[in-house]
Amino acid sequence: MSLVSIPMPEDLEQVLKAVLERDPNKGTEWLKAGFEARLAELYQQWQALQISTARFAELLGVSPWELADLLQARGLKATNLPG
Amino acid sequence: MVTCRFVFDASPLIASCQFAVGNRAVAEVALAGTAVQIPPAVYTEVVTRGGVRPDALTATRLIQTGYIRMVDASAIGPPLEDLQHYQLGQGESEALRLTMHLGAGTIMVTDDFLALIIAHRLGVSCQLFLDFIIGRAARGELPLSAAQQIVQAVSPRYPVGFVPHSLAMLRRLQP
Repeated sequence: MSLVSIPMPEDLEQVLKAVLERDPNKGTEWLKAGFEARLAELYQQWQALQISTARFAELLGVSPWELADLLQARGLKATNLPG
Repeated sequence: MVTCRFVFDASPLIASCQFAVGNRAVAEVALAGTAVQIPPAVYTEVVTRGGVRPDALTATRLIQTGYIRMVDASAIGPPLEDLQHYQLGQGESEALRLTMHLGAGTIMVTDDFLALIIAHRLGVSCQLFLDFIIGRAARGELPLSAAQQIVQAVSPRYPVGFVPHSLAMLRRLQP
């Protein structure tokens, strides 16, 4: 695992600081949960044709290649075609 | 003989670089001898954002060797006001604009269902990658066996029905 530096809104920083002092692994857990929730939300929008494939990648902040990898790794559909 | 020009968005391009027929990427087999164009935003999505991934380097090589031509930003045509109603990505929007700008005889190839529907609403010729392959086989530009192999190779990507239907269409082309 690598260390990354992320700008944090002040109000969230106050909460997170206390949480991390008690359990340093919570930051990773929060980050992963946030990413998975966003992925799930955008996946639903994509399958409902509210957003396209390229827009899905843009909103998630990944490249289309990375999006294909993420979907495959989770056993999700590779396209928004019906069926 | 009808000569078609094709505009790809990122979805079929990426998939055809990720799957292989034998030891060759599907894209190398499927695009040989055809006129495929991409707008700058698709180049960004596929080549720039792909970096040094081996599959992305396949796409880069196809552009460098002339299988795929990136058109200049000035050649993609004016913005389409109608697209503001939809949430398309940059690449899909530019691919639609370019296809419309190039006019008759130009077909957009996408595996994005939303882009496909919007193209049809705008009167832009548009097809799935599977239909691009079937079309090439029907025109005698791609051997039937190669078309069948490509359809089989990319099959994990498509929902139930699309691949068996494509194989049935290819079987009907047999003399």
